[in-house]
Amino acid sequence: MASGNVEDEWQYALDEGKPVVPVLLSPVKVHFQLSRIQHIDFYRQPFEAAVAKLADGLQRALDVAADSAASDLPVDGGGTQGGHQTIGPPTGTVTFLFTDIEGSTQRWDEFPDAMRTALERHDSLMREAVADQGGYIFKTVGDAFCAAFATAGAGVAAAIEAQRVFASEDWSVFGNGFAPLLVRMGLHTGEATERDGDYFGQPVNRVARLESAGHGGQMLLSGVTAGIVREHLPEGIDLRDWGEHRLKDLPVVVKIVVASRHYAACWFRRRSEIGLRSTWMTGFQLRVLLVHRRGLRALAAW
Amino acid sequence: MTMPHVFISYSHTDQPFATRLAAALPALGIDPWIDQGGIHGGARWSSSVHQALDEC
Repeated sequence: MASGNVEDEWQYALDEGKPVVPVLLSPVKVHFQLSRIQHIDFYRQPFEAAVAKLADGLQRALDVAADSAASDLPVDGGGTQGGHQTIGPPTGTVTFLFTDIEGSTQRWDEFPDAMRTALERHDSLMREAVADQGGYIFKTVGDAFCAAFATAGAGVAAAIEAQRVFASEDWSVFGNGFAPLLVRMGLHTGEATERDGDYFGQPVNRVARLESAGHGGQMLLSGVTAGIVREHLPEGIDLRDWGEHRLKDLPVVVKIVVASRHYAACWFRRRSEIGLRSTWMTGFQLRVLLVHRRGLRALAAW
Repeated sequence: MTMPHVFISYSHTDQPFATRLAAALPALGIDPWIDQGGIHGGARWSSSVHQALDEC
């Protein structure tokens, strides 16, 4: 990316409507024009594995380019896992994953330099987690990510993996006293309107509210999404039903069977916070569930 | 089925990686085009580079 010639070449390729798949050899700041194109990460996985993902992504991207007149669609060259692979924005019934860093505004004030570099790392990890499940990142706003997946399983798997790597990352290297970044996530599945790579409609609004209801390190699933993935969760992942509740102007009624002491600590804190947040939720019924990964450092830190 | 062509764009500092990548792709059904001489600082596109980009 340091080469002007390289930039000329990918700019030319994009202008010509050719599929472009960025390859990252080290953590770098990606040009904004490439940031919406899913890259292949070569520095966090074996060369052979990355090449296989690249070849698969290239083949699919080329297939799409050959079949579609809409050659200016962003190309998702992400790899495959579990048979999931998305080229461009999925349509029809889509699973949305929205994420946001908890307390980022305050942390920007306290650690402006550390946040700048930590956010680059956060973005890289998030993009890789989404790419590995064939997801499509259709919007970023500050440190918030909005991604779409063709299947609920892929979306949940991406969220779980992202939380896993966020929890295992040593964030202290970014600054003295810099605490781990905690990312809240919401997932919902529904039919939304896709236009020019962006999504509109009720499912998008709902997942945004759902994500906002969470705490850093948590993944809140709508009942729709949870119902799809419940029987196919990875080992070590539990779903805890928080019951049905209106999220706006109503006290939250949580119905949870606490599985462990550790889990109980999480639940009681969340319950009160959900109540506070409910005052600015839109009114709709959601069956909220919490995905909890045993041993997740972000949760253990509570 | 025709083997798809891809153009590998790289900085000369990444030439070892680019060469390794180009060597690995044919086995996976991808026909890579790579500027064997690398892209050197200050140089602009050669006609062969431009042609390769158009053909990929």
